[in-house]
Amino acid sequence: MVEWTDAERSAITSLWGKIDVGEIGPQALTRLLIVYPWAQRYFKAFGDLSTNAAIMGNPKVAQHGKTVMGGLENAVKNLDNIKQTYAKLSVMHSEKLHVDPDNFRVLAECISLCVAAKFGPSVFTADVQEAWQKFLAVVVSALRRQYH
Amino acid sequence: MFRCIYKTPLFAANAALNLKKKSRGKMSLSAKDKETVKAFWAKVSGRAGDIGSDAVARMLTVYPQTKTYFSHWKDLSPGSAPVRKHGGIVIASITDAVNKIDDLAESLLTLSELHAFTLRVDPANFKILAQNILVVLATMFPVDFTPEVHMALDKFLGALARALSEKYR
Repeated sequence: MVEWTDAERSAITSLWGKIDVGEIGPQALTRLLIVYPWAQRYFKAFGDLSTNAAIMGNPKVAQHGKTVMGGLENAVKNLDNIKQTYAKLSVMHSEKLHVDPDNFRVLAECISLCVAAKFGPSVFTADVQEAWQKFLAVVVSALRRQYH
Repeated sequence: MFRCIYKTPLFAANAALNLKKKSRGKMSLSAKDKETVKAFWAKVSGRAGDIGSDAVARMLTVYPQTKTYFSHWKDLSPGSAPVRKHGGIVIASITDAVNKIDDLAESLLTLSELHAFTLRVDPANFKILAQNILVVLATMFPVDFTPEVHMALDKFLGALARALSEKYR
């Protein structure tokens, strides 16, 4: 089981409280699709992703970014049971969506960068970064867990 | 009966679509990537010292296994003298690499030998430091750190890491 210090719990919930999923989610997914364009393979149904401008203006990308980011709420609320909380989602990403799990790690990095840019060095300190990235690593691990 | 995938309509259509898109090129740095990196670096180099120091401090905090390379330091806390000094050294090398961006392998030869034979830093750590550099740049320059700049820097730091690993084996 993951061990969280009180400081880490506090940092994660405090940062989560500041995050607007409708803002950060679309930014993070947009960044993923631009910076790691091979990730576009999962979004053929999203329409025009042919240029960076198209990706940034694509409403399906924005909506999906919000959905994915919103999904983290469950993890924040269940810090001591993230594995179980995400078991079904993990199965779905493996069996139904066939997503290479390395994309979870890379999307987590994009999320962290968007959060860093939004809140700056005085909020996103080294300690907050540590707690936040540990949190995302646990989420990523839970999402990988049911792959076989 | 064996059916050649390259002749299927789906493959051909997809290939045609890819040709229409702007060329992604190889994973090596395009002329545009180099321009983007140079322009961004010119904007940020005034704060080079802070960038280097903060990146190293974050690396040591967020990835504590990296502390194993610095057991000879008296003080590994953020803002400490050794951390600031080392941050300065690292960032100066990166600035140098930006100026020699057209020939990273050649210009980083000595540094590569240093890392390979003397420092023996596991190359996985280059990626870790690169990630922290990007985080620091995002916190300090949120407006300039656009997705395009992010991509060019990510590629550049990856190319740097590869050049540094050249002499390892």
